[in-house]
Amino acid sequence: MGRVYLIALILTKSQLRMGRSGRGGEGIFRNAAIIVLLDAVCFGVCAVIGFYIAGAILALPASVGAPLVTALVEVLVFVPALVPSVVLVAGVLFELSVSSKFASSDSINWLPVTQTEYVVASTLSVAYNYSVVPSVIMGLTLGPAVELGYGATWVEMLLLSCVSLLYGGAIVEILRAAVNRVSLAVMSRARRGALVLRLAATIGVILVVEVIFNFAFLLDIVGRFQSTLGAAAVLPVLWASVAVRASETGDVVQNALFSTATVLFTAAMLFVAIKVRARYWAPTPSQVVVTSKEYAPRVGIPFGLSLFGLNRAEATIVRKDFKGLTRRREMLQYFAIPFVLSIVFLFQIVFNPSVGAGSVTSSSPAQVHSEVDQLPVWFVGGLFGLIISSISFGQEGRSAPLLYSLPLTWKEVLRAKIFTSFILAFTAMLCIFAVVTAVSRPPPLVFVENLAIAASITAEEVCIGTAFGARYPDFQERPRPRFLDPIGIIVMVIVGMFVMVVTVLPAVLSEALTSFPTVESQIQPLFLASVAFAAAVTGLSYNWARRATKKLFVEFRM
Amino acid sequence: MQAPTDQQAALRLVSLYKSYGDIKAVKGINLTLKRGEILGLLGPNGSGKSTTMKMVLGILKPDEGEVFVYGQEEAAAPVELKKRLGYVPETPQLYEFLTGIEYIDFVAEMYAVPPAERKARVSQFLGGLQLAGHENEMISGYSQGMKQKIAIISALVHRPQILVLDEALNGLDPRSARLVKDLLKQLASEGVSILFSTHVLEIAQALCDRVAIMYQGTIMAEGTVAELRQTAGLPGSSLEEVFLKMTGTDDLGEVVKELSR
Repeated sequence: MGRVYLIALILTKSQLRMGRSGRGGEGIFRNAAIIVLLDAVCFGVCAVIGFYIAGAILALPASVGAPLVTALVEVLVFVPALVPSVVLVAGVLFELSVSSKFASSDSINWLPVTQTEYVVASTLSVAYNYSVVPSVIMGLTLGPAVELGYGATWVEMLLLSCVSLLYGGAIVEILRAAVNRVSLAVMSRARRGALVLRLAATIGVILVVEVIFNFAFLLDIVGRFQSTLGAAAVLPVLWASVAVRASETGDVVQNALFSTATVLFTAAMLFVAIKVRARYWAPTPSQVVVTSKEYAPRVGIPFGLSLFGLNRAEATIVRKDFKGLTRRREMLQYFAIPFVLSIVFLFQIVFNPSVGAGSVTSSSPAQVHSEVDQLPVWFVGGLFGLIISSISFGQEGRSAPLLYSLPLTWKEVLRAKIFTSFILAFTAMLCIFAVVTAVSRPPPLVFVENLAIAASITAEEVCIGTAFGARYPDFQERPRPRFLDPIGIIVMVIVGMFVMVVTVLPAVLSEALTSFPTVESQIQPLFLASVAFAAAVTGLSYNWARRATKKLFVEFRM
Repeated sequence: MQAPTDQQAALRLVSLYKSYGDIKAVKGINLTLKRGEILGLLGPNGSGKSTTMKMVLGILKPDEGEVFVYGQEEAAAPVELKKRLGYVPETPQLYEFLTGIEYIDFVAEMYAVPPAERKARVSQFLGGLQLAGHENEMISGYSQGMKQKIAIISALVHRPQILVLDEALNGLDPRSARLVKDLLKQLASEGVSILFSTHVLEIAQALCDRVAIMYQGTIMAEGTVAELRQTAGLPGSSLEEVFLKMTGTDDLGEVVKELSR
């Protein structure tokens, strides 16, 4: 058990220090106990908030407070299912973002450690690393549980949540080994097709996880818990919730049965994780053959990139970057961004039918509201463009010096980077726009206006992201690379979101004004104002990107 | 700005300085690489060799001083002058998501190597360095030696006039290392100028026309091996002994005694 503890400790420290190259051993992150401190603080603060909320709800008149009380009681039931869900989402996304170079060279692969020791230690480490999540949830629910007389249920919920945390960690281990094995099997056989398959599979996994754990979707499930208790009983991930429900209703037998089943399920998941790892884990990277064709240098600029004004060097960088985006494991998750954003938007429609297509010519406030709810469509290209362009320089990693030593100008590099980001973001925006338009079928004028705004936002965000990417690049290669300096990330998100909101404000105002026919003549200028503002921001941020890139290419600094 | 006339100089470093914060990595070095010459740059770890080479390539910008390539200041026309240079870094950081051939093709495209010539040269190099058959595999699966070979091919594919090689023979198998050494000699005889750093003094002794010994950011001595022996006052000794004396690191006896206790 001592060895398991030691391995778990090392894995936890590794996770804590992962993003802090060169300074990982300093300060508070030297000690893994920082997580315990964090858990205690989060629990304490959330408990205070929870008691306050519970008190406020109970102080409301019965007609208003009763549904809220019911909802609070339902939340208590839902918590043990939510905890492993969060671990799974975070764990899966983490695994998908780890560079394969680091995943395969982990020293655990060659140290005299048994599979059982490693899996148990890793599960404990994952559970410990994400323990802040149940700490927050338990803190928030303590107040309502005590105030509503469910103190004993809360204790049981706490214990079952800890157990659920463990099986969440075990499932992450199963996924890790399975993904590794499938990846190796596919990559060593299917050549270029394997790369496409891996891209599709990665996006698929992220989408599935996003769908299953989408908040709108989960809220809907929570609402149906009462009526679907029978169905929930056959789903192991819901057994802990069934036990908590039984505790609330005083059903001792069902409580004991499903609590025991949860513990046994956790043990089973650990057992499976150990077996899967022992059987399927392969630490060495596979030899990936991309093609068997004889080498034939290209003549001319490929894919008609010259039509976009790119010269040979720029087109070559664009091709190289596209290959990197589609082949690098740590980049695949970025491709999922527009799909995830679309899922978030579509779920709002599916699980909230009052949101839907409306006509801009309608004067009904409800219709206007429905138009406003379509705003996410405008933002998909912009958000994706912001993110994908911000990593365009940092993703060069330790290969960045090559660009400095080659006969390239900084202008050529900038044009290539912006072109790549813009093409990706614009394509994503057009695809999603096409789907939404097919569903909502707006009038032609609305279509043109919305398309103009979406395209404008995409362009401005790509330029903003590129400027930040050139100003704050992070070339460090880590197990979980971030490509942008943390300060750059924070400021960029704030600036990018703010700019998007300001850009759409005139258009939103225009939508609101459609409810007042007397001011219809102002609609076009307001839409034009949005587009004009976006154009101005695009110009300004492009200039900033130029200055930042020129400075970046004075010399290479890691 | 034109450098002082030196018709023999392919590369001229004039009073180069470079610091990383408080650390002075290169302190006012002056170095001339003649046309068709192999100049060895020797020095212990941290002596400033790689920093010097990176300043030649434009990866780092000198705090002071100039770099002249064929009499023209590099800072004035960096892109044009880089076309005449080929570089193998100490630890090649290749694009591992590309195959070997894709990487070479990428570099060749940057140097605008004509497609027909590119195909012939790449095939020759792949065969010569025993990489044929592996060129369509992703670099992520290559061994260190294979990556080094890809880096060497990439540095040579565009027929550079000046080669800057930083520990270029690291990781190569004996056959490939011998082939590269012979190739460098051949290239030098054809007029290619080569700046070559290595820790293996036997290689420097066998390969280099002249040697510059660098220590703590400065050039301690420069010349042929015979001239360095004279300077060090060690006639008939090996380059290793000359090097150790020049760098003041010849007092190893006590260190060995301590370690073996």
